[in-house]
Amino acid sequence: MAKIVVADDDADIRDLVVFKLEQSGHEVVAFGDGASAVEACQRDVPELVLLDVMMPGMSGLDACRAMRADPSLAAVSVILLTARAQESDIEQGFRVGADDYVVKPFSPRELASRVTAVLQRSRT
Amino acid sequence: MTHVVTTLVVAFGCCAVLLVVALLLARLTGAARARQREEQRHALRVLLLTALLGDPPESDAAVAELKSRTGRPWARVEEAAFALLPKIKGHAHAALVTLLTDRGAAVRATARARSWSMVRRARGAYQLGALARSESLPVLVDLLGDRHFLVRRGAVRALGALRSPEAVRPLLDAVVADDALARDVVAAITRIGTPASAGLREMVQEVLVPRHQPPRPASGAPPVRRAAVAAIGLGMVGDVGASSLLVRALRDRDHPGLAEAAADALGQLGAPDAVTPLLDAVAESRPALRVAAARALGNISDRSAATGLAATLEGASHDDARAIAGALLQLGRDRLAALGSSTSPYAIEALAVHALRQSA
Repeated sequence: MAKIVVADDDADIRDLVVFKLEQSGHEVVAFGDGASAVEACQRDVPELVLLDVMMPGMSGLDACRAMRADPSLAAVSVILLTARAQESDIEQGFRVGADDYVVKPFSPRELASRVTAVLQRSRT
Repeated sequence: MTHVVTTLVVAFGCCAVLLVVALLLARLTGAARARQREEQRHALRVLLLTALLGDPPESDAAVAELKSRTGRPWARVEEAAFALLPKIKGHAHAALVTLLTDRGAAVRATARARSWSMVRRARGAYQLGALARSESLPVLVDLLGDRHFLVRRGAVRALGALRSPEAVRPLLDAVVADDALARDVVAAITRIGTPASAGLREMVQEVLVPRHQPPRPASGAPPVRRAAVAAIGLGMVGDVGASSLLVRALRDRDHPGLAEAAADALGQLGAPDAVTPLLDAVAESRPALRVAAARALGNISDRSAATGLAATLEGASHDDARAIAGALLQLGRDRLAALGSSTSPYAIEALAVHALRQSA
């Protein structure tokens, strides 16, 4: 099981993701903005980070860029959560270094499966 | 005298201190209340999530706890559930809808949708959309005629969530009555998706009366705006089979606005059989049609359009030239050659923007 950081300004989504991932046996820490999440990752490097794309202050894309630029966090897996399902948005997400992309609204089961798949890929 | 002044200054000072203390207290109390409300909401969400996604026996206990709530405590649960509903899908969504409908939420939402209060009607429309039950269709269609824009828009969005093809015609009629709803109606039709196609085609067809038929009296004529939005809808739902109908609409010159909408839809569909009629439309007299056709050719990205587009670039007006140069940029490798050989300042501008984007 893995240490996971979640950043989403929507408390409903935050609670939902934390609940589902804790139920799957992961250790989860949640934040309401990207900057706090990046700081937390720098203090204690997680195995995976779930970032909402649209957040006030530092967006998920900016947080992902900041993590990829930091050598200590460059290897951490990143999943982006977003309501923007356009091809160009998804393309942009992968361009900044995300490992996967989950479109809102999402199925909690599907999210847990994607987290498991990304973790498995990063461990091999 | 000095004594009176001193007393006044002290009294004023005391009042000022009291005021500052009162303001601080109010702020602290407000913050504490907000924190308390958020904690309550968090506890409710966890209870709901345990009932929906948890494992027995915790989930059974959470369901029993939710069932035991009535009155105000249940109203809080309902509020939290409606906030969560549009953010999830799959099994959890279905379970939440069942929980709400079993507790009479749909009946209450319908009553709200018929309330005298505009805020309640808008909320009722939102809730009926979130529950997405087909039984709500007549209530929501009625709300499309509401006197308040926010209620009408809520009903349009809710009808999109219902994903029923029966909603297509009332949705397009709502655009005829209020054009400010057009964007939301197109989004709702996109949500309905392929099942909307038949209704949309019918509405475009109604306007395109064959020439041998006698013209309809003006009062019985189907609204052109409705047909135009239907054409855009065909593009948005990806009805590739409608491209020949849309090409007919593109060639129509009797109904201003329809050909432009058809051009947009053909571009959205990426219909290669539309390249020649779109090139003809770029040479048309209506500026809006020329721009829409150029944009569509760019979206189709068929290289055979490059030469034809480049030829229309010379001598084109400001808006046309920008649209044509933008379209040429989307046409693959041939675009740069076509733009490079043009003397139009808009071609030079488009090439400069392209170079900047490439270097970024």
